[in-house]
Amino acid sequence: MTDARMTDATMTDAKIRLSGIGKSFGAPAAPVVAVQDLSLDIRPGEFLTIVGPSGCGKTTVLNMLAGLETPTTGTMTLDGRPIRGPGAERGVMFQDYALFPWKTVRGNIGFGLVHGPAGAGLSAAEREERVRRVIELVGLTGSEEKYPHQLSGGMRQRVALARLMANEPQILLMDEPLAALDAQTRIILQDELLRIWGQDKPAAQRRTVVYITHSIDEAVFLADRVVVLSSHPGRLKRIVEIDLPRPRDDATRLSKGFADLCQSIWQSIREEAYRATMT
Amino acid sequence: MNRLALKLLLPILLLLAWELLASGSARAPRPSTVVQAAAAMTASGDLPTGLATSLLRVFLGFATASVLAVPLGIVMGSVAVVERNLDPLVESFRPIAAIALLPLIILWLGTGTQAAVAIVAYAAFFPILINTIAGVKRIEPNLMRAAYTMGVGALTRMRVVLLPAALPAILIGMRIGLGVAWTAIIAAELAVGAKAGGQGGIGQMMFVFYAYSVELNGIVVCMVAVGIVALLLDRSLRFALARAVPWSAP
Repeated sequence: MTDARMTDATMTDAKIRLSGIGKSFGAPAAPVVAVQDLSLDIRPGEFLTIVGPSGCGKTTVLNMLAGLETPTTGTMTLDGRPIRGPGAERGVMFQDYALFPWKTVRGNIGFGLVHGPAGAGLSAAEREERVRRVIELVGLTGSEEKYPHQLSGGMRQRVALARLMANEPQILLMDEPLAALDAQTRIILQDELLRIWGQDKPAAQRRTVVYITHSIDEAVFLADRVVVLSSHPGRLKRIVEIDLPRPRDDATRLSKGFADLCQSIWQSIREEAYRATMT
Repeated sequence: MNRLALKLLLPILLLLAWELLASGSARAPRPSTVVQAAAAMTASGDLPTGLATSLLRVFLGFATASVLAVPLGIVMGSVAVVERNLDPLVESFRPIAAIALLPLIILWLGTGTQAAVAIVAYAAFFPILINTIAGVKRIEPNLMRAAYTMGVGALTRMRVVLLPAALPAILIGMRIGLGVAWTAIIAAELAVGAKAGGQGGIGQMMFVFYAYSVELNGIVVCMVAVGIVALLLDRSLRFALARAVPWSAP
Protein backbone atom coordinates (compact mmCIF):
# COMPACT_ATOMS: atom_id res chain seq x y z
CA MET A 1 0.00 0.00 0.00
CA THR A 2 1.16 3.48 -0.80
CA ASP A 3 -0.02 6.95 -0.06
CA ALA A 4 -1.21 9.35 -2.72
CA ARG A 5 2.00 11.27 -3.15
CA MET A 6 4.06 8.19 -3.88
CA THR A 7 1.46 7.06 -6.42
CA ASP A 8 1.66 10.39 -8.15
CA ALA A 9 5.41 10.21 -8.32
CA THR A 10 5.64 6.65 -9.60
CA MET A 11 2.80 6.64 -12.10
CA THR A 12 3.30 8.61 -15.25
CA ASP A 13 0.79 6.93 -17.53
CA ALA A 14 -2.35 8.02 -15.71
CA LYS A 15 -5.59 7.60 -17.65
CA ILE A 16 -7.32 10.07 -15.38
CA ARG A 17 -5.48 12.44 -13.09
CA LEU A 18 -7.13 14.29 -10.23
CA SER A 19 -5.00 17.06 -8.73
CA GLY A 20 -6.15 18.85 -5.61
CA ILE A 21 -9.83 18.29 -6.38
CA GLY A 22 -12.28 19.93 -4.00
CA LYS A 23 -16.02 20.32 -4.15
CA SER A 24 -18.28 22.47 -1.97
CA PHE A 25 -22.02 22.87 -2.08
CA GLY A 26 -24.36 25.51 -0.79
CA ALA A 27 -24.00 29.22 -0.24
CA PRO A 28 -20.49 30.67 -0.73
CA ALA A 29 -20.70 32.18 2.75
CA ALA A 30 -21.34 28.84 4.45
CA PRO A 31 -20.18 26.14 2.07
CA VAL A 32 -20.53 22.45 2.81
CA VAL A 33 -17.31 20.79 1.78
CA ALA A 34 -18.04 17.42 0.20
CA VAL A 35 -14.58 16.64 -1.15
CA GLN A 36 -11.29 18.21 -0.13
CA ASP A 37 -7.89 18.18 -1.78
CA LEU A 38 -8.18 14.86 -3.55
CA SER A 39 -5.25 13.87 -5.73
CA LEU A 40 -5.32 10.56 -7.48
CA ASP A 41 -4.02 8.89 -10.62
CA ILE A 42 -6.24 6.30 -12.23
CA ARG A 43 -4.20 3.89 -14.36
CA PRO A 44 -5.40 2.66 -17.71
CA GLY A 45 -7.14 -0.71 -17.53
CA GLU A 46 -7.27 -0.81 -13.76
CA PHE A 47 -10.24 -1.68 -11.63
CA LEU A 48 -10.28 1.02 -9.00
CA THR A 49 -12.79 0.89 -6.19
CA ILE A 50 -13.62 3.71 -3.82
CA VAL A 51 -14.90 2.98 -0.32
CA GLY A 52 -15.62 5.18 2.63
CA PRO A 53 -18.22 5.88 5.26
CA SER A 54 -21.36 7.70 4.22
CA GLY A 55 -20.67 11.38 3.76
CA CYS A 56 -17.25 10.81 2.27
CA GLY A 57 -18.27 12.25 -1.08
CA LYS A 58 -17.90 9.04 -3.09
CA THR A 59 -20.78 9.85 -5.38
CA THR A 60 -19.59 13.44 -5.76
CA VAL A 61 -16.21 12.18 -6.93
CA LEU A 62 -17.88 9.92 -9.48
CA ASN A 63 -20.16 12.70 -10.69
CA MET A 64 -17.15 14.94 -11.19
CA LEU A 65 -15.39 12.22 -13.16
CA ALA A 66 -18.55 11.83 -15.23
CA GLY A 67 -18.57 15.57 -15.88
CA LEU A 68 -21.97 16.00 -14.24
CA GLU A 69 -20.50 18.20 -11.54
CA THR A 70 -17.66 20.68 -11.73
CA PRO A 71 -14.96 20.69 -9.06
CA THR A 72 -14.71 23.86 -7.00
CA THR A 73 -10.94 23.59 -6.89
CA GLY A 74 -8.27 21.56 -8.61
CA THR A 75 -7.97 20.03 -12.05
CA MET A 76 -9.10 16.80 -13.63
CA THR A 77 -7.57 15.46 -16.81
CA LEU A 78 -8.34 12.53 -19.03
CA ASP A 79 -5.42 11.45 -21.21
CA GLY A 80 -3.86 14.79 -20.33
CA ARG A 81 -6.84 16.86 -21.46
CA PRO A 82 -9.03 18.66 -18.94
CA ILE A 83 -12.45 17.14 -18.27
CA ARG A 84 -15.22 19.57 -19.13
CA GLY A 85 -18.65 18.01 -18.97
CA PRO A 86 -19.75 14.49 -19.84
CA GLY A 87 -18.36 12.56 -22.75
CA ALA A 88 -19.27 9.31 -24.43
CA GLU A 89 -15.81 7.90 -23.67
CA ARG A 90 -16.83 7.81 -20.01
CA GLY A 91 -19.86 5.59 -19.41
CA VAL A 92 -21.80 5.89 -16.18
CA MET A 93 -23.83 3.29 -14.38
CA PHE A 94 -26.10 4.91 -11.83
CA GLN A 95 -27.01 3.49 -8.47
CA ASP A 96 -30.69 3.49 -9.35
CA TYR A 97 -29.79 2.16 -12.84
CA ALA A 98 -31.63 5.08 -14.52
CA LEU A 99 -33.28 2.79 -17.06
CA PHE A 100 -35.78 4.41 -19.39
CA PRO A 101 -39.14 2.99 -18.28
CA TRP A 102 -40.69 3.48 -21.73
CA LYS A 103 -37.99 1.49 -23.47
CA THR A 104 -37.75 -2.26 -23.61
CA VAL A 105 -34.58 -4.05 -22.58
CA ARG A 106 -33.42 -3.87 -26.20
CA GLY A 107 -34.35 -0.18 -26.49
CA ASN A 108 -32.55 0.71 -23.28
CA ILE A 109 -29.38 -1.11 -24.26
CA GLY A 110 -29.35 0.39 -27.75
CA PHE A 111 -30.19 3.90 -26.55
CA GLY A 112 -26.68 5.31 -26.68
CA LEU A 113 -26.03 3.72 -30.07
CA VAL A 114 -29.20 5.22 -31.55
CA HIS A 115 -29.12 8.68 -29.97
CA GLY A 116 -25.51 9.21 -28.94
CA PRO A 117 -22.13 9.34 -30.63
CA ALA A 118 -21.37 5.73 -29.67
CA GLY A 119 -23.37 4.51 -32.65
CA ALA A 120 -21.93 6.98 -35.14
CA GLY A 121 -20.53 5.20 -38.17
CA LEU A 122 -22.37 1.98 -37.38
CA SER A 123 -25.04 0.66 -39.71
CA ALA A 124 -28.39 -0.36 -38.26
CA ALA A 125 -27.38 -3.99 -38.65
CA GLU A 126 -24.11 -3.42 -36.81
CA ARG A 127 -25.92 -1.71 -33.96
CA GLU A 128 -28.36 -4.56 -33.69
CA GLU A 129 -25.52 -7.02 -33.67
CA ARG A 130 -23.74 -5.07 -30.91
CA VAL A 131 -26.91 -4.99 -28.80
CA ARG A 132 -27.51 -8.68 -29.36
CA ARG A 133 -23.95 -9.51 -28.33
CA VAL A 134 -24.14 -7.47 -25.12
CA ILE A 135 -27.50 -8.96 -24.25
CA GLU A 136 -25.93 -12.37 -24.56
CA LEU A 137 -22.89 -11.28 -22.55
CA VAL A 138 -24.95 -10.24 -19.53
CA GLY A 139 -27.38 -13.15 -19.84
CA LEU A 140 -30.53 -11.30 -20.83
CA THR A 141 -31.37 -13.36 -23.91
CA GLY A 142 -35.12 -13.98 -24.00
CA SER A 143 -36.00 -10.77 -22.13
CA GLU A 144 -35.31 -8.36 -24.98
CA GLU A 145 -38.88 -7.12 -25.32
CA LYS A 146 -39.64 -6.68 -21.61
CA TYR A 147 -39.99 -3.30 -19.94
CA PRO A 148 -37.90 -2.44 -16.86
CA HIS A 149 -40.92 -2.63 -14.54
CA GLN A 150 -41.33 -6.25 -15.54
CA LEU A 151 -37.80 -7.17 -14.43
CA SER A 152 -36.30 -8.14 -11.09
CA GLY A 153 -33.63 -5.97 -9.46
CA GLY A 154 -30.86 -8.28 -10.68
CA MET A 155 -32.17 -8.21 -14.24
CA ARG A 156 -32.42 -4.40 -14.21
CA GLN A 157 -28.86 -4.24 -13.02
CA ARG A 158 -27.86 -6.40 -15.97
CA VAL A 159 -29.71 -4.10 -18.36
CA ALA A 160 -27.87 -1.09 -16.94
CA LEU A 161 -24.57 -2.91 -17.26
CA ALA A 162 -25.40 -3.98 -20.81
CA ARG A 163 -26.34 -0.42 -21.75
CA LEU A 164 -22.99 0.70 -20.41
CA MET A 165 -21.14 -2.02 -22.33
CA ALA A 166 -23.01 -1.44 -25.59
CA ASN A 167 -21.57 2.07 -25.84
CA GLU A 168 -18.06 0.64 -25.41
CA PRO A 169 -16.75 3.51 -23.30
CA GLN A 170 -13.04 3.51 -22.46
CA ILE A 171 -13.84 4.25 -18.85
CA LEU A 172 -16.64 2.74 -16.79
CA LEU A 173 -17.86 4.82 -13.86
CA MET A 174 -20.08 2.80 -11.59
CA ASP A 175 -21.94 4.12 -8.54
CA GLU A 176 -22.81 1.32 -6.13
CA PRO A 177 -24.29 -0.74 -8.93
CA LEU A 178 -24.92 -3.77 -6.74
CA ALA A 179 -26.10 -1.94 -3.63
CA ALA A 180 -29.79 -2.65 -4.15
CA LEU A 181 -29.38 -6.39 -4.60
CA ASP A 182 -29.60 -9.28 -2.16
CA ALA A 183 -26.40 -10.95 -0.99
CA GLN A 184 -26.54 -14.00 -3.29
CA THR A 185 -27.27 -11.96 -6.41
CA ARG A 186 -24.44 -9.63 -5.52
CA ILE A 187 -21.91 -12.42 -5.35
CA ILE A 188 -23.05 -13.82 -8.68
CA LEU A 189 -22.94 -10.43 -10.33
CA GLN A 190 -19.53 -9.60 -8.86
CA ASP A 191 -18.15 -12.68 -10.57
CA GLU A 192 -19.89 -11.74 -13.76
CA LEU A 193 -18.69 -8.18 -13.60
CA LEU A 194 -15.07 -9.34 -13.41
CA ARG A 195 -15.62 -11.70 -16.33
CA ILE A 196 -17.17 -8.91 -18.42
CA TRP A 197 -14.43 -6.51 -17.43
CA GLY A 198 -12.00 -9.08 -18.76
CA GLN A 199 -10.08 -10.44 -15.79
CA ASP A 200 -9.14 -13.49 -17.90
CA LYS A 201 -7.72 -11.28 -20.61
CA PRO A 202 -4.35 -9.55 -20.69
CA ALA A 203 -4.37 -6.28 -18.76
CA ALA A 204 -3.94 -4.21 -21.92
CA GLN A 205 -7.36 -5.30 -23.19
CA ARG A 206 -9.24 -4.27 -20.07
CA ARG A 207 -11.24 -1.11 -19.68
CA THR A 208 -10.63 1.35 -16.87
CA VAL A 209 -13.21 1.03 -14.11
CA VAL A 210 -13.93 3.40 -11.24
CA TYR A 211 -16.33 1.65 -8.93
CA ILE A 212 -17.99 3.15 -5.86
CA THR A 213 -19.18 0.85 -3.14
CA HIS A 214 -19.88 0.97 0.56
CA SER A 215 -19.03 -2.68 0.92
CA ILE A 216 -15.41 -3.32 1.84
CA ASP A 217 -15.35 -6.97 0.79
CA GLU A 218 -16.83 -6.05 -2.55
CA ALA A 219 -14.22 -3.33 -3.00
CA VAL A 220 -11.39 -5.73 -2.20
CA PHE A 221 -12.76 -8.59 -4.27
CA LEU A 222 -13.11 -6.52 -7.44
CA ALA A 223 -10.23 -4.09 -7.28
CA ASP A 224 -6.66 -3.67 -8.36
CA ARG A 225 -6.54 -0.80 -5.91
CA VAL A 226 -8.95 0.34 -3.23
CA VAL A 227 -9.17 4.05 -2.51
CA VAL A 228 -10.30 4.70 1.05
CA LEU A 229 -11.91 8.05 1.72
CA SER A 230 -12.62 9.64 5.07
CA SER A 231 -15.76 11.65 5.64
CA HIS A 232 -16.82 15.22 6.40
CA PRO A 233 -15.16 16.36 4.28
CA GLY A 234 -14.27 13.57 1.88
CA ARG A 235 -10.49 13.22 1.86
CA LEU A 236 -8.09 10.61 0.64
CA LYS A 237 -7.20 8.35 3.53
CA ARG A 238 -5.39 5.42 1.99
CA ILE A 239 -4.79 3.67 -1.28
CA VAL A 240 -4.55 -0.08 -0.87
CA GLU A 241 -2.99 -2.24 -3.58
CA ILE A 242 -4.93 -5.48 -3.90
CA ASP A 243 -2.42 -8.06 -5.05
CA LEU A 244 -4.77 -11.03 -4.88
CA PRO A 245 -4.23 -13.18 -7.98
CA ARG A 246 -6.66 -13.05 -10.91
CA PRO A 247 -8.92 -14.58 -12.01
CA ARG A 248 -10.64 -14.24 -8.68
CA ASP A 249 -13.47 -16.52 -7.57
CA ASP A 250 -14.98 -18.12 -4.47
CA ALA A 251 -11.54 -19.35 -3.44
CA THR A 252 -10.44 -15.72 -3.32
CA ARG A 253 -13.31 -14.87 -1.01
CA LEU A 254 -12.21 -17.60 1.39
CA SER A 255 -8.52 -16.81 1.32
CA LYS A 256 -6.58 -15.35 4.21
CA GLY A 257 -5.16 -12.58 2.06
CA PHE A 258 -8.67 -11.41 1.22
CA ALA A 259 -9.77 -11.41 4.85
CA ASP A 260 -6.64 -9.55 5.93
CA LEU A 261 -7.13 -6.81 3.35
CA CYS A 262 -10.78 -6.38 4.33
CA GLN A 263 -9.83 -6.21 7.98
CA SER A 264 -7.09 -3.70 7.34
CA ILE A 265 -9.44 -1.39 5.41
CA TRP A 266 -12.15 -1.79 8.01
CA GLN A 267 -9.72 -0.75 10.72
CA SER A 268 -8.93 2.45 8.89
CA ILE A 269 -12.54 3.56 8.59
CA ARG A 270 -14.25 1.92 11.56
CA GLU A 271 -13.90 4.88 13.86
CA GLU A 272 -15.59 7.19 11.39
CA ALA A 273 -18.15 4.58 10.43
CA TYR A 274 -19.11 4.19 14.08
CA ARG A 275 -19.33 7.91 14.50
CA ALA A 276 -21.52 8.21 11.40
CA THR A 277 -23.80 5.42 12.57
CA MET A 278 -24.11 6.33 16.24
CA THR A 279 -24.67 10.05 15.93
CA MET B 1 -73.90 -13.26 -11.58
CA ASN B 2 -75.04 -12.67 -8.00
CA ARG B 3 -72.70 -9.73 -7.68
CA LEU B 4 -74.08 -8.17 -10.81
CA ALA B 5 -77.61 -8.64 -9.48
CA LEU B 6 -76.59 -7.01 -6.21
CA LYS B 7 -75.04 -4.08 -8.02
CA LEU B 8 -78.17 -3.56 -10.08
CA LEU B 9 -80.54 -3.96 -7.17
CA LEU B 10 -80.19 -0.48 -5.73
CA PRO B 11 -80.50 1.43 -9.01
CA ILE B 12 -83.57 -0.60 -9.98
CA LEU B 13 -85.19 0.06 -6.61
CA LEU B 14 -84.46 3.77 -6.93
CA LEU B 15 -85.98 3.87 -10.42
CA LEU B 16 -89.07 2.05 -9.16
CA ALA B 17 -89.42 4.44 -6.23
CA TRP B 18 -89.05 7.41 -8.60
CA GLU B 19 -91.72 6.02 -10.92
CA LEU B 20 -94.15 5.44 -8.05
CA LEU B 21 -93.54 8.71 -6.22
CA ALA B 22 -93.78 10.83 -9.37
CA SER B 23 -96.88 9.11 -10.77
CA GLY B 24 -99.14 11.47 -8.83
CA SER B 25 -98.05 14.51 -10.84
CA ALA B 26 -98.85 15.02 -14.49
CA ARG B 27 -95.74 17.11 -15.26
CA ALA B 28 -93.11 15.44 -13.15
CA PRO B 29 -90.81 13.32 -15.32
CA ARG B 30 -90.85 9.60 -14.58
CA PRO B 31 -88.52 6.88 -15.85
CA SER B 32 -91.21 5.68 -18.24
CA THR B 33 -91.89 9.11 -19.71
CA VAL B 34 -88.16 9.87 -19.91
CA VAL B 35 -87.59 6.70 -21.93
CA GLN B 36 -90.42 7.68 -24.26
CA ALA B 37 -88.96 11.15 -24.69
CA ALA B 38 -85.51 9.71 -25.35
CA ALA B 39 -86.93 7.42 -28.03
CA ALA B 40 -88.75 10.33 -29.67
CA MET B 41 -85.69 12.61 -29.55
CA THR B 42 -83.50 9.89 -31.01
CA ALA B 43 -85.98 9.10 -33.75
CA SER B 44 -86.28 12.78 -34.72
CA GLY B 45 -82.49 13.01 -34.90
CA ASP B 46 -82.35 15.90 -32.43
CA LEU B 47 -80.50 14.04 -29.71
CA PRO B 48 -77.77 12.54 -31.97
CA THR B 49 -77.32 15.88 -33.76
CA GLY B 50 -77.11 17.75 -30.47
CA LEU B 51 -74.54 15.37 -29.07
CA ALA B 52 -72.52 15.41 -32.27
CA THR B 53 -72.49 19.22 -32.35
CA SER B 54 -71.35 19.40 -28.73
CA LEU B 55 -68.75 16.69 -29.15
CA LEU B 56 -67.24 18.43 -32.16
CA ARG B 57 -66.92 21.66 -30.16
CA VAL B 58 -65.39 19.77 -27.25
CA PHE B 59 -62.81 18.14 -29.48
CA LEU B 60 -61.92 21.41 -31.15
CA GLY B 61 -61.55 23.19 -27.81
CA PHE B 62 -59.70 20.28 -26.27
CA ALA B 63 -57.28 20.10 -29.20
CA THR B 64 -56.64 23.84 -29.00
CA ALA B 65 -55.98 23.57 -25.27
CA SER B 66 -53.59 20.63 -25.74
CA VAL B 67 -51.62 22.33 -28.49
CA LEU B 68 -51.10 25.37 -26.27
CA ALA B 69 -50.77 23.79 -22.83
CA VAL B 70 -48.39 20.88 -23.52
CA PRO B 71 -45.50 22.90 -25.04
CA LEU B 72 -45.98 25.67 -22.49
CA GLY B 73 -46.05 23.14 -19.66
CA ILE B 74 -42.85 21.52 -20.91
CA VAL B 75 -41.06 24.87 -21.02
CA MET B 76 -42.44 25.93 -17.62
CA GLY B 77 -41.53 22.59 -16.10
CA SER B 78 -37.97 22.57 -17.38
CA VAL B 79 -36.93 26.23 -17.22
CA ALA B 80 -37.22 27.57 -13.67
CA VAL B 81 -37.09 31.21 -14.72
CA VAL B 82 -40.06 30.83 -17.04
CA GLU B 83 -42.06 29.08 -14.38
CA ARG B 84 -41.29 31.68 -11.75
CA ASN B 85 -42.54 34.41 -14.04
CA LEU B 86 -45.59 32.71 -15.50
CA ASP B 87 -46.83 30.84 -12.46
CA PRO B 88 -48.50 33.87 -10.80
CA LEU B 89 -50.34 34.59 -14.04
CA VAL B 90 -51.50 30.99 -14.37
CA GLU B 91 -52.54 30.79 -10.75
CA SER B 92 -54.55 33.99 -10.92
CA PHE B 93 -56.50 32.85 -13.99
CA ARG B 94 -56.99 29.28 -12.87
CA PRO B 95 -59.66 29.98 -10.22
CA ILE B 96 -61.72 31.95 -12.73
CA ALA B 97 -64.32 29.46 -13.90
CA ALA B 98 -64.74 29.15 -17.65
CA ILE B 99 -68.35 30.23 -17.32
CA ALA B 100 -67.26 33.50 -15.78
CA LEU B 101 -65.55 34.39 -19.04
CA LEU B 102 -68.77 33.95 -20.95
CA PRO B 103 -69.77 37.63 -21.13
CA LEU B 104 -66.37 38.63 -22.50
CA ILE B 105 -66.21 35.72 -24.90
CA ILE B 106 -69.65 36.49 -26.26
CA LEU B 107 -68.67 40.11 -26.77
CA TRP B 108 -65.51 39.11 -28.59
CA LEU B 109 -66.52 35.97 -30.43
CA GLY B 110 -70.30 36.14 -30.67
CA THR B 111 -72.63 33.32 -29.78
CA GLY B 112 -71.61 30.61 -32.19
CA THR B 113 -69.33 27.61 -32.24
CA GLN B 114 -66.25 29.82 -31.89
CA ALA B 115 -67.37 31.09 -28.50
CA ALA B 116 -68.22 27.60 -27.26
CA VAL B 117 -64.84 26.28 -28.44
CA ALA B 118 -63.03 29.13 -26.69
CA ILE B 119 -64.80 28.38 -23.40
CA VAL B 120 -63.94 24.70 -23.68
CA ALA B 121 -60.33 25.42 -24.56
CA TYR B 122 -59.99 27.74 -21.57
CA ALA B 123 -61.44 25.13 -19.22
CA ALA B 124 -59.31 22.27 -20.51
CA PHE B 125 -56.12 24.35 -20.66
CA PHE B 126 -55.35 24.43 -16.94
CA PRO B 127 -55.51 20.76 -16.00
CA ILE B 128 -53.35 19.92 -19.01
CA LEU B 129 -50.85 22.66 -18.23
CA ILE B 130 -50.55 21.88 -14.56
CA ASN B 131 -50.15 18.15 -15.06
CA THR B 132 -47.57 18.71 -17.78
CA ILE B 133 -45.52 20.98 -15.52
CA ALA B 134 -45.74 18.49 -12.67
CA GLY B 135 -44.83 15.63 -15.00
CA VAL B 136 -41.75 17.40 -16.31
CA LYS B 137 -40.61 18.42 -12.84
CA ARG B 138 -41.04 14.93 -11.44
CA ILE B 139 -38.79 13.31 -14.02
CA GLU B 140 -36.15 11.17 -12.39
CA PRO B 141 -33.07 13.44 -12.81
CA ASN B 142 -30.79 10.47 -13.44
CA LEU B 143 -32.70 9.69 -16.64
CA MET B 144 -31.65 13.00 -18.15
CA ARG B 145 -28.16 12.57 -16.75
CA ALA B 146 -27.88 9.07 -18.16
CA ALA B 147 -28.61 10.38 -21.65
CA TYR B 148 -26.24 13.28 -21.04
CA THR B 149 -23.36 10.97 -20.09
CA MET B 150 -24.01 8.96 -23.24
CA GLY B 151 -23.23 12.11 -25.18
CA VAL B 152 -26.81 12.72 -26.32
CA GLY B 153 -27.33 16.37 -27.31
CA ALA B 154 -29.64 18.74 -25.43
CA LEU B 155 -32.42 18.92 -28.01
CA THR B 156 -32.40 15.18 -28.55
CA ARG B 157 -32.56 14.69 -24.79
CA MET B 158 -35.71 16.81 -24.69
CA ARG B 159 -37.31 14.73 -27.40
CA VAL B 160 -36.22 11.23 -26.45
CA VAL B 161 -36.03 11.47 -22.65
CA LEU B 162 -37.97 14.42 -21.26
CA LEU B 163 -41.04 14.04 -23.43
CA PRO B 164 -41.59 10.29 -22.98
CA ALA B 165 -40.73 10.53 -19.27
CA ALA B 166 -43.39 13.19 -18.77
CA LEU B 167 -45.88 11.57 -21.13
CA PRO B 168 -47.87 9.60 -18.55
CA ALA B 169 -48.49 12.79 -16.55
CA ILE B 170 -49.31 14.76 -19.71
CA LEU B 171 -51.85 12.15 -20.76
CA ILE B 172 -53.44 12.15 -17.31
CA GLY B 173 -53.75 15.92 -17.61
CA MET B 174 -55.39 15.47 -21.00
CA ARG B 175 -57.82 12.95 -19.58
CA ILE B 176 -58.82 15.34 -16.82
CA GLY B 177 -58.92 18.17 -19.38
CA LEU B 178 -61.31 16.27 -21.62
CA GLY B 179 -63.65 15.65 -18.70
CA VAL B 180 -63.57 19.32 -17.78
CA ALA B 181 -64.11 20.27 -21.41
CA TRP B 182 -67.25 18.18 -21.62
CA THR B 183 -68.56 19.80 -18.43
CA ALA B 184 -67.78 23.26 -19.72
CA ILE B 185 -69.48 22.77 -23.08
CA ILE B 186 -72.90 22.35 -21.49
CA ALA B 187 -72.52 25.58 -19.56
CA ALA B 188 -71.17 27.35 -22.62
CA GLU B 189 -74.00 26.21 -24.84
CA LEU B 190 -76.64 27.33 -22.38
CA ALA B 191 -75.60 30.82 -23.26
CA VAL B 192 -74.76 30.33 -26.90
CA GLY B 193 -77.38 31.36 -29.44
CA ALA B 194 -80.72 29.53 -29.54
CA LYS B 195 -81.17 27.14 -32.42
CA ALA B 196 -83.95 24.72 -33.24
CA GLY B 197 -83.43 20.97 -32.85
CA GLY B 198 -79.92 19.72 -32.16
CA GLN B 199 -78.01 22.36 -34.12
CA GLY B 200 -77.11 24.31 -30.97
CA GLY B 201 -75.65 21.32 -29.16
CA ILE B 202 -76.89 19.41 -26.17
CA GLY B 203 -76.61 22.36 -23.79
CA GLN B 204 -78.68 24.53 -26.06
CA MET B 205 -81.31 21.78 -26.30
CA MET B 206 -81.58 21.82 -22.53
CA PHE B 207 -81.98 25.56 -22.56
CA VAL B 208 -84.74 25.38 -25.15
CA PHE B 209 -86.58 22.71 -23.16
CA TYR B 210 -86.30 24.85 -20.08
CA ALA B 211 -87.08 28.27 -21.46
CA TYR B 212 -89.54 27.64 -24.28
CA SER B 213 -91.27 24.30 -24.20
CA VAL B 214 -90.93 23.57 -20.45
CA GLU B 215 -90.34 19.95 -21.38
CA LEU B 216 -88.97 18.35 -18.24
CA ASN B 217 -88.61 14.90 -19.76
CA GLY B 218 -86.37 16.33 -22.45
CA ILE B 219 -84.14 17.99 -19.84
CA VAL B 220 -83.73 14.71 -18.01
CA VAL B 221 -82.93 12.91 -21.28
CA CYS B 222 -80.21 15.48 -21.97
CA MET B 223 -78.79 15.12 -18.47
CA VAL B 224 -78.62 11.35 -18.78
CA ALA B 225 -77.07 11.61 -22.25
CA VAL B 226 -74.41 14.04 -20.95
CA GLY B 227 -73.57 11.62 -18.15
CA ILE B 228 -73.32 8.64 -20.47
CA VAL B 229 -71.13 10.50 -22.96
CA ALA B 230 -68.84 11.67 -20.13
CA LEU B 231 -68.44 8.10 -18.95
CA LEU B 232 -67.75 6.84 -22.49
CA LEU B 233 -65.22 9.58 -23.15
CA ASP B 234 -63.35 8.86 -19.95
CA ARG B 235 -63.35 5.10 -20.44
CA SER B 236 -62.19 5.25 -24.03
CA LEU B 237 -59.46 7.73 -23.14
CA ARG B 238 -58.34 5.53 -20.29
CA PHE B 239 -58.20 2.60 -22.67
CA ALA B 240 -56.22 4.63 -25.19
CA LEU B 241 -53.80 5.78 -22.47
CA ALA B 242 -53.06 2.25 -21.36
CA ARG B 243 -52.17 1.50 -25.00
CA ALA B 244 -50.14 4.68 -25.45
CA VAL B 245 -47.96 4.27 -22.35
CA PRO B 246 -47.74 0.53 -21.71
CA TRP B 247 -44.70 1.00 -19.47
CA SER B 248 -46.58 3.00 -16.86
CA ALA B 249 -49.46 0.55 -16.66
CA PRO B 250 -49.51 -0.93 -13.16
